[in-house]
Amino acid sequence: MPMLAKLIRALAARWVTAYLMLTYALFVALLAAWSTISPAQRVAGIASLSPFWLLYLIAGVHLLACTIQFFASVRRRATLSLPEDRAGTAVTLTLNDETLAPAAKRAGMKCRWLDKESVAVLYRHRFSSVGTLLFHGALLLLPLAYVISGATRFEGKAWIIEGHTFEGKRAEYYRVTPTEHFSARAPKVHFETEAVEATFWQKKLFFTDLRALLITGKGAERQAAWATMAQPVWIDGARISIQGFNYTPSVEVLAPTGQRIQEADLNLRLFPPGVEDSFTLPGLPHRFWVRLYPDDRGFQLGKPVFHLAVTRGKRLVSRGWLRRGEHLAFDGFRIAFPAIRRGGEIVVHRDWGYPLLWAILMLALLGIAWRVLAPSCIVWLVKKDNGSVEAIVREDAFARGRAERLLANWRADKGNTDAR
Amino acid sequence: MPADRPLVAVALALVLFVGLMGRARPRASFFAAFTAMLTLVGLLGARWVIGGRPPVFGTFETSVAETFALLALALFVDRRLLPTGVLRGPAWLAAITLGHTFFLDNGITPLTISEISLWIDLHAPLAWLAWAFYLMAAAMAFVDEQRRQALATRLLGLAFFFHSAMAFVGIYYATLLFAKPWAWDPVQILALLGWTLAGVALHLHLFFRVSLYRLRYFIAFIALVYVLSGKLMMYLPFGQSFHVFELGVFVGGPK
Repeated sequence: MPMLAKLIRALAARWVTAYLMLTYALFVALLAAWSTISPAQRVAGIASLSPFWLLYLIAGVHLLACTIQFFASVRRRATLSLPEDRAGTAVTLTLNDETLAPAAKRAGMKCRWLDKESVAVLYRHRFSSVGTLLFHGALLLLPLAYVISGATRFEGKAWIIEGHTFEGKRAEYYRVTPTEHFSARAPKVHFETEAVEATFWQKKLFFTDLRALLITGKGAERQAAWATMAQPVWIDGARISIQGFNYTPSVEVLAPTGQRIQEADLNLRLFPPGVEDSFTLPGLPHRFWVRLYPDDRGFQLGKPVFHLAVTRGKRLVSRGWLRRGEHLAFDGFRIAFPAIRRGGEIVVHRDWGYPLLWAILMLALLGIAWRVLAPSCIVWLVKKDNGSVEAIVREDAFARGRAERLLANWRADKGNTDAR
Repeated sequence: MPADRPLVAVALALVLFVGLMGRARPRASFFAAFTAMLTLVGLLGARWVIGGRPPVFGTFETSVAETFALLALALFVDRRLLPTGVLRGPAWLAAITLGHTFFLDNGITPLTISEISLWIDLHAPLAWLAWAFYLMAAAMAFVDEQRRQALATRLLGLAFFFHSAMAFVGIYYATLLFAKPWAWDPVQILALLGWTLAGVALHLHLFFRVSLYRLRYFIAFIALVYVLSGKLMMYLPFGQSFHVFELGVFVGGPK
């Protein structure tokens, strides 16, 4: 045990704290400089390099040692144990209840006898240093949240369309993280998209509103809820938020005889205006390249115009501008876009590490608040063998000089009003 | 809003008076600073009513709100904790903040979808409070007098608390918005740097008993890093940060 205590003391050395924090600050300063010129992904890549992890590991071990060592100090304060280092200042004071009780009341402190008639203690917020323990203990729990997050995290991105049902199948997502264990990690998400709405600031590509009305459940359990970017809809522990907007048309193709041979809802990316996407249709060798301009006055659907180009291999077969429902002829066939639907990009996200992360952050904040807003002030008054009284003060740096004001009248070198 | 510039000019003139005359005319300076604070409250209130949303968006509004928070804190400290004479330092800092608003777009723009949340309405005021407490702590640390030094410690502790609260609210909101708490965004990294440095300063003071007067330039640097985390992104290439502070045109924004 003495070896362990020595090891903990060595690991918790104060100069290590200063050294580690300054090193980390230097690392973060370099990242800050880097982040002003590089994309966030590259900065994230640098931040996950081995020197950072090594620093986190050393800091974790150091913090653990500090917390263990600090625990004893917190316990001493909470139990109001007389400090081993008893250096104090002489005060002129008769140590009895008649003197101490009113003085403690005036100073907003409590009074307790540790040894009747020889050791008294006046104190306020004696548990304050628990705040420090909470804050640093919370930081120690962060790796746990990280591990749980890594083991349970699922994030999927998909495009939804008005009037369509999203069933949460792998094929419906265009990107999932992680790519493995889809069936184990993916939440059971099933909803119908009733509507997607967007508003823009002036004629600029800045959303001032973007929301999707999602219908979940069936029969009596059928519920409707708006999902926005900031207020997701929760299904099976997963958050579903909408982050992107889109228009996508339905298509119909007529044979030379006039018979409708194709009719389908497409899932194209045609927003913002000018973005081109393409599709093919079963039974036709052509590829159709589409752009959509929703209106000449902005981004809302007004008088939409399509630009359509039809290619076969590397050969351009036909192209033209179409309004909704107008036809373009190609190789004897005719194609039209009779309807346009709104759509949105959704993020489906579930991570069981986050509730723990939020709890850790709350704990850390509580710890800081406790320490800063309720600083401790403890004054031991010890009667010595020769009858004189000595005051030993332990006051938090965040305190407001309460002990100083309390002792002002009891100083041996000043007039004494409470002594008699 | 047409009255923005004149109201800011009035507040600027008042804080300049406080900066220049704070020592010679302490009583008049107090009332000047109080009037400047009321002017800024009026301006923020008017923008809230006209804009139909809390004044939490845009660098102009943010600067006005930060100055309001700093003046309110300085006045509180001046009246409640010290006899007189703490207003000059904060007044000069307020003058710089108000002065630079004349280079900013003062149009009232609606909130973007990522800003429409009560979490942002909490995140922004916590950021203003951290701003006020860091700057006030720095101003106090530069005076080698016992009461101001003790006060600087408490102010730095509270700045750290508000900074943490602001960051934690941001982290929670980021998990709702982007499905991840941290994105190595320039604003986030600078805030982390300021937070870490504030932690260093507190440890140096509490562990090694280094006085805040000896740490005064370090504390000023922490305040500067915090200021940069709030102001630098305007000068970054558009899209470099997910923190959208401007819909209008200043530097790099869309026309």
